[in-house]
Amino acid sequence: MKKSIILICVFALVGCQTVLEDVAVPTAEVKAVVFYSVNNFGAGYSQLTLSRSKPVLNSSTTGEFEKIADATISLTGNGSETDFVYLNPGYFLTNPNYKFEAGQAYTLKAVTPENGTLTSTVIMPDSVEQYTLDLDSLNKDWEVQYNGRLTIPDNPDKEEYFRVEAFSRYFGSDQVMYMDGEYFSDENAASGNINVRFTTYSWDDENGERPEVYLILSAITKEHYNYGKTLYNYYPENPFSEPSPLPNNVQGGLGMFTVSNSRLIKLN
Amino acid sequence: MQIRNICLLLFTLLVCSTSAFTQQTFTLSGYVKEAGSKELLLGVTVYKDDKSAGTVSNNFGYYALQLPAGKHIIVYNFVGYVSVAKEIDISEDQVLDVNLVGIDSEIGEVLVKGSKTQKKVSEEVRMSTIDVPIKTIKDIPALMGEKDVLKVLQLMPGVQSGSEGQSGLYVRGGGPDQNLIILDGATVYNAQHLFGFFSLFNGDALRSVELIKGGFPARYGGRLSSVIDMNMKDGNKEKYTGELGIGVISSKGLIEGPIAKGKGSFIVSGRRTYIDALTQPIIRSFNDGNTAGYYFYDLNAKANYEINSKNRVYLSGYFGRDKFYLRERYEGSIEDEIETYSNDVDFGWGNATGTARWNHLFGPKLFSNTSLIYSFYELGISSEEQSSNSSNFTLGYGSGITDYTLKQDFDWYANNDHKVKFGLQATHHTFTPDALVVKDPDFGLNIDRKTEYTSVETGLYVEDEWKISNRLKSLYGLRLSTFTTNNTTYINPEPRISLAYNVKSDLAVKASYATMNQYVHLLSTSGVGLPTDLWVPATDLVKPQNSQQLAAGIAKDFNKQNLSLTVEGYYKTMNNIIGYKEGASFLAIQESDEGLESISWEDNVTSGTGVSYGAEVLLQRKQGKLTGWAGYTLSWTTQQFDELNNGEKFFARYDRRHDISLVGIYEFSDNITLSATWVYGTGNAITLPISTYQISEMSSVNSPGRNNFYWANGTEYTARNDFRMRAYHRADIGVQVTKEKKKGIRTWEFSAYNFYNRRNPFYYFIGLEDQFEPDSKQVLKQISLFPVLPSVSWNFKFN
Repeated sequence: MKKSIILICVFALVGCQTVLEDVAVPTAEVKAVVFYSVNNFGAGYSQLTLSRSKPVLNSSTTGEFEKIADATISLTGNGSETDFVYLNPGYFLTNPNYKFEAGQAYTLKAVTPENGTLTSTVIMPDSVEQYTLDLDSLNKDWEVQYNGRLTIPDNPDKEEYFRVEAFSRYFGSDQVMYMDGEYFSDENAASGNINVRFTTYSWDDENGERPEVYLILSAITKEHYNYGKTLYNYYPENPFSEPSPLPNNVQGGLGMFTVSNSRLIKLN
Repeated sequence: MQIRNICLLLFTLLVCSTSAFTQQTFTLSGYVKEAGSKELLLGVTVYKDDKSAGTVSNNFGYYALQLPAGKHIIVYNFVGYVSVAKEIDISEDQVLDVNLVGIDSEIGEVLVKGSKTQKKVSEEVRMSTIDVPIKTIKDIPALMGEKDVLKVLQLMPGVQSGSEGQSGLYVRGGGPDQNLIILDGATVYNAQHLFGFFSLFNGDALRSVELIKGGFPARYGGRLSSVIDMNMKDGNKEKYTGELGIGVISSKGLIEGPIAKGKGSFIVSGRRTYIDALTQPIIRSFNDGNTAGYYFYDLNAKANYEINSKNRVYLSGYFGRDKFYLRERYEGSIEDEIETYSNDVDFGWGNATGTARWNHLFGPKLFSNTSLIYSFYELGISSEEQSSNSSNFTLGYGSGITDYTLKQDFDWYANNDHKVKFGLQATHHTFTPDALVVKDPDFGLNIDRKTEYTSVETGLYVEDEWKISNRLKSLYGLRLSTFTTNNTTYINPEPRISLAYNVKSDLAVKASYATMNQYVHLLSTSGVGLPTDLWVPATDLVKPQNSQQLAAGIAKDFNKQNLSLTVEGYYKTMNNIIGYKEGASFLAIQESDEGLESISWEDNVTSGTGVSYGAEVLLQRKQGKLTGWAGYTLSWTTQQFDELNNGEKFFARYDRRHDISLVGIYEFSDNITLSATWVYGTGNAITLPISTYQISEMSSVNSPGRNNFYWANGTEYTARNDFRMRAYHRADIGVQVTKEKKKGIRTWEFSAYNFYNRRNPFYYFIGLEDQFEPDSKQVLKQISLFPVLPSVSWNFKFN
């Protein structure tokens, strides 16, 4: 409603549009964009995506983003290296047995013929060794609401960032569930503990079968946390809010590379 | 320890210097009034003809001067009035009230010596201070003919407007929240009508307007960047009179007169827009009875009474409101069932202030003013939806601030070399940053939440205007401000000093330093100046803002030409300024395990620092057939927030490299006045999207084949505020034709805003070059608000 009222009064006031022809607008370089998020569950658990950005001005933005297929991509760290293989346009997979270890640095490198070389290095955080989960579930016909509280001892000597995700499993197929309080940190730790409340929901399938519900509790990097928090408030279509640039930890291009230390928690 | 040392130093300085005076003197004191209306005049220069002693009348028209026994000629001089010289023979304390005749007035006393001289900037110790005559405000052409105090202030160097048509002030790199706007001592929190296109103050009821940009006297505090001190007229003490005005969008009226002749008076002034009333029939006829509209109104009122020669009381108030409304009604039948639907939406905001003051003379040297002040601002949004086939839906959102202030000020005329002001004030604030009501039985929603903070702000001050020698003057002082909120109390000493050295009688070199603290913040979603911006207090988590400003410059009077020139440079640092985090907004709601709730504003904000520096030139002529000024500002303003722009420094949105204002008012004949203004400003700094890309939600639940892309595309931007909008320039012209009628003076005013029809940028956005062709390329588009806007108004001032 706020937006409508603002728009009504702004445009009612003799508003008129002009296309700016005599203003030098900034030129945008087409960049390679890589996203790869992986955790200790194994490199085979996730895909890498590689595409190209599009300039906003003086070009059409309709249609799909151009995928990059002819890139050479590798992941190195902890004394080993693995290459990615092309799966389908824009998607790459790597060795599913590649192992990640806490405290080790991992470097992702993608060499593209047209858009240069992209690199990103992150250090895998330590795992969440201790936690307490208090859980209430509320059954409403075909829906179950889970209200939970996670308590993690705070380590005052370092900054810690976390993510909690939920998914339900129907016959081996995983379905991401809505989750609030997804990203949290030790910034507001109280009495030596980091507390986060979360709510998530699951629904019975068409046969009335109740799915298995899991949490993934991850220790994540600061860049990953900032990216997630920014995405949480991400409304790029609102012309009156301040722009929200997404954090980028890829040199030579755009995107995000993260290595998380996760653990799986079964709720039911 | 630091506070104690500063206080001790100040006290020693004050006591030593005031006790140095040994000669037997007597006090000449009294009030300076306007002949005819007996309106008290403030800022009148009162001095001995040999300039060995002098003072200025205070905010209540009172002055006091120490003179040795004998005969003296005392001159009373004020811009726009004929100077008066009085010969006195003093052998004891003496009271002398003086009436000054307006230059345009035909009434008058005969005691004229010299005349029509303008205030000398080289004689004033203060710098970075501008007083704007009310007549000038009325003469300058304005948007839709609506005279606007704040828009005239925007024409001064060091003061910038936000964007096209806005009343918001950006002073020396500060935001619009950093201006202390005071009306008869009461703080006005939102001084804007219609999203800032018009200000609350139309000038008819005002007696004086003063803008202070730096070198702040210690009596002012609570904001970082400027003080705009306005005083309402007292009203005519001799006879009933009034004014009527009819303009393109509003009409206004004023009535004033004596309560008891010569003893007390009142004034009431009001204004209301009527676009909604005129357009109602059309809107209704085209919308099946549904309607929408907007209006604003404001009302100023003041009364005063002189109980006796030592006691006067004043009561004044302001009340104004803006309101948008939408009324939808529907009635129909579906399968013989009658269905009704109604929706009432209201969006309003308003200010109210009230001031009760008591002036008391403890003696000719000690003037006291006690004030009890009320100030209130609120924003409200409501929607009531009723339907015959569903439950009623109610949405209400509000924010506001309420202040109660007790203030005690003293003017102590210690001797001719020291004029001391001291006092204290205590303000009880109640902030309601957000109150949310959502009721929707269909969805089981029943939210009624209100966040409220109470806090107490105090200020204890002492300042001394010290004539150190014939050439060197100083205004120094200290303010001790405190703010108590929740379990935290902030205590901050604020030293202030201004120095002026007269190199020649008409040339002064000046310098000033001021520390300021601000305990209230304005959370702004955008720079458009919306009433949805929230006033919030400093809290345990959100620290108070503070600034330090250093300024230096020269002031030169060209007496023959009636010109004054000031050139000033300044450097200002600001700490703990706040802003929304990227992507956050005022109506942030989240779902939690306790249901739907507003995200606390404290979690939505981030704090940073700012730096502003620059130079300002003002060449001004206040008297003569041609009056006006030329102003130029060269400035830089940058900000740095750890959580914005990757922690890198960026230009503030209102950073403006060059800003030029030319204002001319020419009295063509006795009844025709021509006026014109031209403004130029470097374009505002904005952030522009440059490319778009596919982004991922980075889910750990990522089985092969699952689409892990986020719903929206990512946008790569230029660095924050790294792109400049087009330069802004505009000329306005006006002509006033007055004619004396039997019962008063009639004035027709014709004006044109933006008369050469410059399409100035208001807002930039990216859009399709051909909006009917989805594959066409995207281009940068500009919204311009106002083309050439002619206006006409009719005013009548009764005799």
